[in-house]
Amino acid sequence: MSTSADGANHEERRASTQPAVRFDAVWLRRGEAAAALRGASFALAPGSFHVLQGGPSAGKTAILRMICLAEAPSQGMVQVLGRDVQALPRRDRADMRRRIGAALEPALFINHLSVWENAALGPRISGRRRADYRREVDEVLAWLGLAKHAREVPPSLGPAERSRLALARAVADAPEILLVDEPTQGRDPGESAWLFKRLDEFHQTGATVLLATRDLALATGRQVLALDDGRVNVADPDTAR
Amino acid sequence: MNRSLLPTSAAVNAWAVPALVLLTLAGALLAILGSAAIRQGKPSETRLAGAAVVVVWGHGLESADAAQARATEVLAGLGDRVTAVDPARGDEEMARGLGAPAGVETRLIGVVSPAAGIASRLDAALRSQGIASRAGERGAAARWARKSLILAVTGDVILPMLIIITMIAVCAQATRREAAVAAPSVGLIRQFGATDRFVKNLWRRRSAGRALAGGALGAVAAVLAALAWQAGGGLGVPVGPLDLAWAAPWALIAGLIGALTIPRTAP
Repeated sequence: MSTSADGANHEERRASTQPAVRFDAVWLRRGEAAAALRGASFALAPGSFHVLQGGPSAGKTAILRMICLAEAPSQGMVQVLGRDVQALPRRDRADMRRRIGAALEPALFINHLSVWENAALGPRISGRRRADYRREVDEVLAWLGLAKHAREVPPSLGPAERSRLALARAVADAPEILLVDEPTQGRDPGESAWLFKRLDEFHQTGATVLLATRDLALATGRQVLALDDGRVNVADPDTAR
Repeated sequence: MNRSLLPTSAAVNAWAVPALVLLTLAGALLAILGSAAIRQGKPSETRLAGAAVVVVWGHGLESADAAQARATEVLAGLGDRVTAVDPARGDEEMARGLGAPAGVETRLIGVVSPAAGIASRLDAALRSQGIASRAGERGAAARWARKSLILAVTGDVILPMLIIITMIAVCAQATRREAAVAAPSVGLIRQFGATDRFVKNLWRRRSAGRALAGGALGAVAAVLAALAWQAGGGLGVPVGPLDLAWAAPWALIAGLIGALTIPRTAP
């Protein structure tokens, strides 16, 4: 896969000494329910690939949502690409979001637009000219096996294709951080392996990848952040704070 | 195909577009008629200086021009200064205001006299010569002209203001309802880094496009209605191309209101 993340950006990202993501004693409470996160702390090195592992309702999605600025922590500090997200001015929050690609569950699409238009959402919002990103979007769709569905609308896709479209949309604007939520849930092993191969390929462009899953088998051979009782245990000490 | 990031709400368009068409139609018609009334009222008042105004019309084999020439001679014989006025737009309305029967060709004569209250004297002199005519004091004619101007101004200012206020209400309600439908899409595009300005521009294009479409349809309908009305003889005022051109600003006004009527806070 070739994206505009290739080349110089690749080296810049890996060379950065600041963590791409840093959680410092982060709590998340939602109403009267028990806290989803209870002082979670971890850091992701730029260009790293981590698997965030935990059971149902362990807080995996909450962590991803906080990284992509969709949710604010109740307490503690979340730093993304060197900036404290809670201290970001409104304008900078929009800029920050454009540097993060997120394929969260449930995947929402703009249903009156085609698969191609949905995949092109990031570049379009970035203000790029259509002619400038047309080829990139075509390539991303082909890379994820969606080229033949380009003219269809999202509701006509099956669950596997929708999941791939969410990923295509997340990577189309070459984000510095890619967040993927349960990409293999309900998929057969062959599809899961294929998807992981694609994530590895994208990781090779220099992006920091964080993948949330409850499937332990997927974590094999990767750096793992294990969520337990609202806290994060870092399996790889090199990336811990 | 709708390529906007905002979904189209057919339910909102179903009432908002026809409402905008009707409002623009009303506003444009008022502007056309107001323009015609002003253009005919002003010249009549300024051309007819004097103590009295006489309207004459043809009768039997005598044409309006012949009646005007004969009446001018008769009135000149009375010792007053008499001016036969060349026909102009709006004279018909003035003539009707002075009592000429509808549907006849008329001519006006201005009479300057040192004496006041000369209309009855002029009437009597013309009647004795068998000339179909009516005379009115200058004040009455001027009042009629002023009244028509006041009516025109009312039609051109007060009613249009009410129409504009209603347009604002329609556009605001339409975007408010659409904002509720589009909330998930707006949330999604914000998640992908859309700025406030980007979202506002989406709404601006959506709302202005709808209002401009409704406005254009309404303006065209107003022009067609004015022409059809005039052809049927029901307008009472002659409408020219310049008057019809007043429909165009109404389409633009509708578009402008649409562009300015966007959700204050993004959902």
